[in-house]
Amino acid sequence: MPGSPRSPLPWRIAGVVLAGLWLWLLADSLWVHALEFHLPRAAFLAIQWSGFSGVAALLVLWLIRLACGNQATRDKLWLAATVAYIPLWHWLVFAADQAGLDGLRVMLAQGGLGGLFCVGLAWVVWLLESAAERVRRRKREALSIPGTQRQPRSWNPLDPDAWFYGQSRKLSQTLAAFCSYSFAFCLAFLMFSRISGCQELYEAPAGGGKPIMVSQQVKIQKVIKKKFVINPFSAIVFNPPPIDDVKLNLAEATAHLYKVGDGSGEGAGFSGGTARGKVRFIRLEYQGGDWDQDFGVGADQNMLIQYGVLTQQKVHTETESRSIAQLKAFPAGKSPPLMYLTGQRNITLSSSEAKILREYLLEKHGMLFGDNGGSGHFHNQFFAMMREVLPNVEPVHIPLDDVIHRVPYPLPFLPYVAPHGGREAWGWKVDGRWVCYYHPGDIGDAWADGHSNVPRPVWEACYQLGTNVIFYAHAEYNQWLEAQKRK
Amino acid sequence: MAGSAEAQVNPGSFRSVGFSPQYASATGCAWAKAHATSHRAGILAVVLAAVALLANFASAGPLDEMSLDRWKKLREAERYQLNIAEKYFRENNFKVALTEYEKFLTLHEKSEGAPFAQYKWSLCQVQLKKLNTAVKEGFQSVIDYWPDSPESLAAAYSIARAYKDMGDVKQAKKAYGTVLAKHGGHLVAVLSRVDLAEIARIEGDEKRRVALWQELVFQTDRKDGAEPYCQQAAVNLAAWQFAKASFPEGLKALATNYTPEQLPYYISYYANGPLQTLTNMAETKAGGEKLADEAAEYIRKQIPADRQDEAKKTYARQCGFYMADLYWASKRPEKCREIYEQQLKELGPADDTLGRLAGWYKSMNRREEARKTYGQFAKVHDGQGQIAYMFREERRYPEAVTLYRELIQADTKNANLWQGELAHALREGGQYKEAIGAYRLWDNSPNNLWHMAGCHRALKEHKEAVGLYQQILATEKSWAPQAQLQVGYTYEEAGEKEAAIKSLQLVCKRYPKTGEASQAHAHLQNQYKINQTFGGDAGKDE
Repeated sequence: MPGSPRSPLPWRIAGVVLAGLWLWLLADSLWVHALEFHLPRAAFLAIQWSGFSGVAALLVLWLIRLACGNQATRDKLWLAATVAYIPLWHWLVFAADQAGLDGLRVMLAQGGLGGLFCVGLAWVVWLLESAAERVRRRKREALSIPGTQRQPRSWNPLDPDAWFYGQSRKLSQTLAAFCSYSFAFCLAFLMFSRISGCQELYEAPAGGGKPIMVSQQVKIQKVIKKKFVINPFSAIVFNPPPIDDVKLNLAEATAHLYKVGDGSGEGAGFSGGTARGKVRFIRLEYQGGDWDQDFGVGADQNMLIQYGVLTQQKVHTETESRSIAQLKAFPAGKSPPLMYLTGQRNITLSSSEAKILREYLLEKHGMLFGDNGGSGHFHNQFFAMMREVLPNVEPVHIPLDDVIHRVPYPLPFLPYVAPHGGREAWGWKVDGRWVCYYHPGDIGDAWADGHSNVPRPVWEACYQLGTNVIFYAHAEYNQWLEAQKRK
Repeated sequence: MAGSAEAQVNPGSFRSVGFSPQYASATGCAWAKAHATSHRAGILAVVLAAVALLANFASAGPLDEMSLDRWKKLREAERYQLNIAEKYFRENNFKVALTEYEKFLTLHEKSEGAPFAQYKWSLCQVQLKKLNTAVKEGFQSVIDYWPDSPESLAAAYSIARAYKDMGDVKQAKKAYGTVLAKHGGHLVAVLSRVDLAEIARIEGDEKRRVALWQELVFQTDRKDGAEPYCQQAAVNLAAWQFAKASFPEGLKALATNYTPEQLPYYISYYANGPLQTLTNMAETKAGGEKLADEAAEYIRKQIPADRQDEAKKTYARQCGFYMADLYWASKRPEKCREIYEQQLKELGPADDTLGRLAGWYKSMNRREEARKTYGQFAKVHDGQGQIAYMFREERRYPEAVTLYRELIQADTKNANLWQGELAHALREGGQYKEAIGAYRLWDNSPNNLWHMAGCHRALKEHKEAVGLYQQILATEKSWAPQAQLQVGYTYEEAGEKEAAIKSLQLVCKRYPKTGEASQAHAHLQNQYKINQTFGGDAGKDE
């Protein structure tokens, strides 16, 4: 078995190979994403499952063998258990993630981290104790030699009698060790997070569909008014109804005759999505203003729920927010296709934030959905921000017959709550793709509970417009992913 | 640089000497009026040219007109139908116009007017914000079905323009390229160059932009509607050259637009912004001053030596003012005063020169000298009006009020004007009750009602203020949204929260398309945390 002193060479080689495989798979799943881009999804998942599960199974077998055999000392057994802890923990998180058990995954990830801290702490305490014991023993041996004078002041931190530990020496040494370990653990965690960019992944729901308009069926029922037979020579004055007075009862029925999505796959979703993937509605946090206007339950969460209802795609349970700096943590190909930005005050953007946004829009194929939450000032702020982010792209009015206004819900007009920034939608287009959609009239208020008491057709259209924009961003992103794979 | 130069084209010579053109016009000073009018004419010309350029898609001038020769060939029924459609198009009722053009196409498919109707149908789609439909089903059909018709050229240009307006720059450039290659001598080529220059600006390609302007200015035959576009290009090129401190090149561009008599004004007008930018920075200051000197020298040479008759004197004065404006923009105010004093010496006292000099004193904070200068006006009332205005600026309201009262008595012809100024002075001085009385005598409804309501609010007489706003609401439709909004604010000041909320909600509900609805909506949310604003609109055409 790997690492065992009595293992034959082939086992040792197998152990090294497996450890390498595990590390490579881990690096790929966290940072590189090469397998995912270059292999079919089924093959990719098969490799991940077999790699991680194989390593985990072999480690369990190794531990059982060590525990049952008499060769290994207790220390070696604990050391082996510690070595096996990380891959086994990772496997559990991976399995929960693949099973779509988000709650369990988070619990395992956080609990495992806590466990790792405790395991490390136990080793630190044990090592410290052993070292202190060795120092004491050496001192005792030295003092037992005749003619030896009193020991000079000790600077050794492993020595509990070191002068800087003061009066309650043992307690001070333990506290110092605990603090040092905690600090080193936090530092290592931060560094690891930094290496991985504190990476976060965005995955769309798997499935397929065609980006076409929702067909509307209208049932027409003619209601013809009662006819009167009138004697034109009658003495009674009677006003006959006009011949054309035919009322039409129009019953509109919209049927979901197709899947709302992009690409080929089972159910409504996106061919580049994953089984655990969900459509998320992420808001962009910025400095200077009220980015959190109409945020969360009873507000933009209504839109996310409605998107799920209108498209039958899987959606996340709640809306989220990320700062501009956090956008950087999303790797290309796994970044959110759409970020929502609203407010009514200032938008302050540093040059590094502008760069991150530019990279997100152009290189990560993202899209920004701006909504004027309440002032003409915000309109100017938003446009100034976009001038900084995309200096060589001019905003244009988005036509009503553009795909973003037609798919999946055709909108014959632009709905708004209040015309804070005019009455037309603006867009920034790069290489035939809208990278930014700006709604001038507080669409977020129409999504919120009560819908600002705007007329029903207006808030319904606002939901449809929101659906169109979210879908457009995801469909475009999916097409880009597919194109990347083909390349 | 060029972009900034254009953006900074600034007619504000009045501002530079601390004089308000509105006020000049209001006080009826002939000199000021003349100057303001000439400036306004310039501004108007530029604005009209810009509007014409922007609006060329909606109404492409000669492009969307049918020639008389072709009109003659139409049968009476065709003319009748086309006239109906044209009528609605002219009235901006594009939905109806669209159906009428459609009707024409259905009834008279083989008519001489069919490509024209198809083209206009497409323009209706553009106006209805359906650019994709316009391109795919409209303009392209004109090219496909009637390739030899005059409308096919316009359609080819319109396709390119539609792509540009939709942000598809690459496709737009390709389409413009096709237009230029196929129809180089036509108006559509001129329009294409204008649009390509705009694209070059967006892309930051200054070289290409200047090359396109030069083609438009120096190599284009200014006929068949090309004139305004070439003129605008000349102006842009001149502003760009001035921004590079190159006076001869800028002059060369402007000379293609204007007569030698007009040039001094336009040089001063278009060099003003670049001069301010250049002299703001230490490294370009010398270039700016050189530009100002060259321009002023050129203008000086245009001043006629023989200044016996009044027209020539006036022209000489105007040229002096333009020179002073250039020096002012290049931050050398002393030279302005030298020019004004020299004018007074050589051409004799004139109100416009004195006004300029007084404005200069004001800007130098030498207010007593300014007052003295205004006191030398030949038109005494205008001078007194200016002095009163100075008192208002200095918050010496009692003196201003006294002067205005004297003016009402003395200048009966403009008594109503002075009455308004008196009311303003009283209000600014905090004498609200007296101001209300003065406003009541001012014959300028609903302005006077508006100000009276403001005074009542200042006096915390909210009921009276609301009454006045209601009066405006009932009588002036265009003022209704702002009056309703002010009713809400007045109730708020009075502490009547519910009434305020109702009024603000009414703004959202009654006038959902206006800016006031936006303000009311935001105020309800921020002040009262109320989301139920009752606004919302479908953005449909009215």
